[in-house]
Amino acid sequence: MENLDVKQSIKTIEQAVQEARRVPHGAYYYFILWGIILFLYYILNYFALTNSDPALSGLQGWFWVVFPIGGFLSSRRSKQDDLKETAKSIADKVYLFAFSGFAFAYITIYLAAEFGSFNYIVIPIFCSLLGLTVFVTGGIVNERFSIIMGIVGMLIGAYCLKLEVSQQCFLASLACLFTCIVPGVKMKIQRV
Amino acid sequence: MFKDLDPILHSQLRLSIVSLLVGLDEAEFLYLREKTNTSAGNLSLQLDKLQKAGYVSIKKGFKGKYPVTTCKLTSKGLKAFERYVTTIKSYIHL
Repeated sequence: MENLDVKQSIKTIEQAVQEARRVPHGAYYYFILWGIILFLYYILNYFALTNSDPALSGLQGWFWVVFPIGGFLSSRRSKQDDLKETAKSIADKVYLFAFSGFAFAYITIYLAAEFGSFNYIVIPIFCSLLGLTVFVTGGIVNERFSIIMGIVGMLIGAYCLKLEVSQQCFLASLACLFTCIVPGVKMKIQRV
Repeated sequence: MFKDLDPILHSQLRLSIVSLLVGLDEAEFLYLREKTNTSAGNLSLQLDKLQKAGYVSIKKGFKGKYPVTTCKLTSKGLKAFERYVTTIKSYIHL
């Protein structure tokens, strides 16, 4: 057995753990990107629903194109990151699983609402799910600001229940701003 | 003196490797070499020992045109590390 004393062992562990913590997860890019994508989607829907201009209403059926654009940009960034990164933090995996789960749940609810008659509940659920995901991931990776913004998202979701769909769209865009864009910008500034 | 300590982990370099991997999902050979400040040959040797003990899984692949070796801590490795830390704590009465 190597002649390593207990203090040396503890020092080695501490140094390595600190070093591993410095590996950035790079989630800010996805927070900002998807925050903008979702913000645009809901704010455009809000304007289409509240504006009497037939051109804007006609375009409403095309707002979904922002999602494939987001998917393309995410995939491109992910490939670039894979080429650059030599280590992957656990936070990377937490974000990947949590937001994949969120996307799956949201799509399921969205499709269910399309075939059912409960459209008014989709946006409150969207805001609550988004807030919950940001809240949980923030808790796991120790991002206090994300935890607070996650709570804001969930509260917006609860408040949305009382509103009409057009107003819900406006609040959903605010939820995207608070739960994704603002924490994402903060992460970028902190370089995490 | 430290007969209860896992001999696989009770080595400066192997302990560094496992401690780094505890905080990461996975790490490339290059990253481990840079952070442990050791030679490629020595790192390779120690990784091989950790792999044989079942503490680390090693995956070889390609990143673009270049070959890449990725290391990941296994659940057996994590348990061994936790046991090691518990034993260390008992030595210093934490």
